[in-house]
Amino acid sequence: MHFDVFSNSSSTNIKDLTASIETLMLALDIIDDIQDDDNEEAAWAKMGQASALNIAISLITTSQLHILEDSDDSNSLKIILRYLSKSIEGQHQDLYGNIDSAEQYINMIKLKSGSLIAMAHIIGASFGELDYSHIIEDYSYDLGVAAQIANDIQDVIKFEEKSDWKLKKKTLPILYLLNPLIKEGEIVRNYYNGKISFDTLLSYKEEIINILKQSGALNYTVAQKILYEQRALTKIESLPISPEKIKILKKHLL
Amino acid sequence: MELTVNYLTKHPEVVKMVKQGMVSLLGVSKEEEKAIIQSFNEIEVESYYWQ
Repeated sequence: MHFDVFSNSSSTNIKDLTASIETLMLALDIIDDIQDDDNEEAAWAKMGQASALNIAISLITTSQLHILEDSDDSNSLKIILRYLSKSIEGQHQDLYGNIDSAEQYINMIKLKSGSLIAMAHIIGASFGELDYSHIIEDYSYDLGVAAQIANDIQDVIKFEEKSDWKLKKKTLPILYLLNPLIKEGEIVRNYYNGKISFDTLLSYKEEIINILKQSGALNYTVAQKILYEQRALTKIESLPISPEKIKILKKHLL
Repeated sequence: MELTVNYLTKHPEVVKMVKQGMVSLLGVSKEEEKAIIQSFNEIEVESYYWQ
């Protein structure tokens, strides 16, 4: 879509490039499932981790080889590797970083998820004559944050074995309750401090869902989602392109 | 922002006053204020994300 909006030329290579990027995204999905040890229904999960990892490595290698073979220059590959590197850094922070604040969490999400969105958008736009990469990168990060927050809202009421609660992940609604100034979050703080077990937390499931609503955790998280969506919208509207093209971007991205 | 939201859940009358333009929220930007108030609207109208 960014190719269609920002480029005046037609290129059959864009379809091959899109396919290569999708192949890369699939590889990253496989690796993410291995790291999180979830998505057991996926075809690769049934093959075992060693095979799944090998498939992911093969897909990454193949996608980059196709990009080099299909492009006249190495610019597309440079863009991919630049943002892939940032996404990997974000994933590392998610796995091993000590996220203690909303600001740290959002910065991690921008790297982990926003970078991949930025990568896809900037590659498409790179076929155009003018360079809007800074604006595109900015709103891509905002969109990545908004999308992840939407996931967090859905996931925070799940308490099964591989849930955010079981894994003691610190997503936005949970970080809200971990704030010691939010009195309603005491049971959540006790769990994250190890004072109560997951089974005990599970027995309070309905109460925790009510706490999420009544304490303002849900409102706070929704407000953050709205904030990032609005920021993305403002940046898209600031692009020096025709109103029709801005409308296309807004329709597809928001 | 967290404490502001927490306060508003306990004082819904203030949410109404902000919507009516009678007061502004302290400690948050105009952009954040707008998002916070909109979050209260969305949750009321859409009957929560979890239903």
